[in-house]
Amino acid sequence: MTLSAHAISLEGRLSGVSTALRSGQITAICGPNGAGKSTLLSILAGLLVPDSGNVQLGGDTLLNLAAKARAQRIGYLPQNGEAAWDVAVRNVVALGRMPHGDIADGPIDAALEALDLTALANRPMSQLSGGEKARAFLARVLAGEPDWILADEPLAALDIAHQLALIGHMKREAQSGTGVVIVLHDLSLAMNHADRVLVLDQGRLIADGMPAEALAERHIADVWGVDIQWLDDDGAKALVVR
Amino acid sequence: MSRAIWILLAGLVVAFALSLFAGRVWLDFADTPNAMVILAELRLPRALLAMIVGAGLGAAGAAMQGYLRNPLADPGLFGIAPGAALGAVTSFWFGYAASAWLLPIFALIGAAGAMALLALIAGRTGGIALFTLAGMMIASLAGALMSLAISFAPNAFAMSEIVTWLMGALTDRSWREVYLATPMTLIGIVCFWMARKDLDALILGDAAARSLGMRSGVLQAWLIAGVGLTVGSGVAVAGIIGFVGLIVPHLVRPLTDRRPSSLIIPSALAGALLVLIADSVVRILPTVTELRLGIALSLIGAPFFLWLLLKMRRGYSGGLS
Repeated sequence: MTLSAHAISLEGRLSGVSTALRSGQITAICGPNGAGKSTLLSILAGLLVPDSGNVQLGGDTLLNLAAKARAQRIGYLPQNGEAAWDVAVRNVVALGRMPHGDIADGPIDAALEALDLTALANRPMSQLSGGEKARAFLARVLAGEPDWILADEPLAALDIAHQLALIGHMKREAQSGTGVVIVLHDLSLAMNHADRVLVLDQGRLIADGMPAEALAERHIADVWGVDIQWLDDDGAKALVVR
Repeated sequence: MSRAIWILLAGLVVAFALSLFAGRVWLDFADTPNAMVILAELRLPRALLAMIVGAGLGAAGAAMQGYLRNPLADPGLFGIAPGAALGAVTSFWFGYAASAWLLPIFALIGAAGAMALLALIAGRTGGIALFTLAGMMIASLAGALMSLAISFAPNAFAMSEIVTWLMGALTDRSWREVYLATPMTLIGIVCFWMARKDLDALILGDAAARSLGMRSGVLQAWLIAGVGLTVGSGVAVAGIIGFVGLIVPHLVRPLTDRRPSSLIIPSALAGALLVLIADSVVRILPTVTELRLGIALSLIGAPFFLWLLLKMRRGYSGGLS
């Protein structure tokens, strides 16, 4: 199934972005600050209405779908997630079932287990570490069993071990057929873990393709204005600033 | 039903029974002359009204704090209570307050006017900040107009009536007020109940809640209707009774799992209990004239609010959220 943007424009933020994303892959959206990454993600999630253009989810126009129907198919994880009230982890994860109108134990337990949260299910959110909170918020999305997971910088504020653990969870979701789209600042993570990379600059789509191609040194020099080199260590690539 | 609901229901039953006996005259059916009349025509409607008004304010406070994701939110923030008060003040100004029905009707018109203005400004897709600012603007406008009405009061008697009424009280209320406030408050609480899932989704913030299918406009409509009916009818029959909506959700939250949906009914019960107890206490106090209920609750509420602020300043988060 595809999630595709057709000539999306939003004044001052995006201009004429078109792309067709495929499920079963991790797509990373990269770009400098203010490039329009989060804006594009919000439009793909149906949370922001573009001035022109439209988003197609499978055969449906996204904005024509009822809020509930859209929410059943697209799980959205905002940046810097924080729970307003000190509720238990299980209650946060159970919110993922809201679009389905149930609190089915099966998907909630499965999401808790997938993210190693079963033992923490009854713990209040305030007693969780940053990494555990990030996992709880992702578990909330998984509990809704969406076809697509759209996450806005889910790895920011996590240490490297937690970053790798979380991206590992997302890879497993992608392998099971879910479409995963993540906004990423860390180009090394995008290069090594994404199946596909979109590079945005000043609201325009500059590159769209395999990581090695989209994050080529010349693109990074053009978009970020930084002269870098990718070092290859047995297939894993590391970014070095020249 | 949760443990909190059972505890509060038990407290309500005991407080309700005691409040029927408590007052300037401690009812003793053997000795007190006209005991049945006092009970049926004074104590019973007053106790029921205290519970109804308190339930509405408590539930509205829980819903407001859930909606604004803020433990310092209060139903007054929407400007509906000041709107209702302005309506009532207008009825005093024109000398209509002597008529039994006109004062509450004016208050309800004031509440409806504030609700309509709020809905109009916030629009169908207005964000939380716009909605709150609109409510605060309506509250300050209504406040300014009330001050204007007081300063241009046609006579000293009207001015004194307005000021006294604004302090809030349940003195000399009858079954008429109970019949007016009960259905409106109950429907208002049902409106909050309808909004409970969306309020839970807001635990995760506005964007995540909308991604879960929350429709901002629909949620705002439930809340405007709920606050309008509960707070509007409460002000119409009792005047301004502050702080209940602020305090009660805090008292109840530790007894629940802290989701806004789990807080609505316990807050309604705790609000009923708090106002019932406060109203019984002001009746018993040996003051020359009865202490106004609104003043008594503010005397409890303001120090509580300060304590809350001090806790926040110390960076304490567990009890607040």
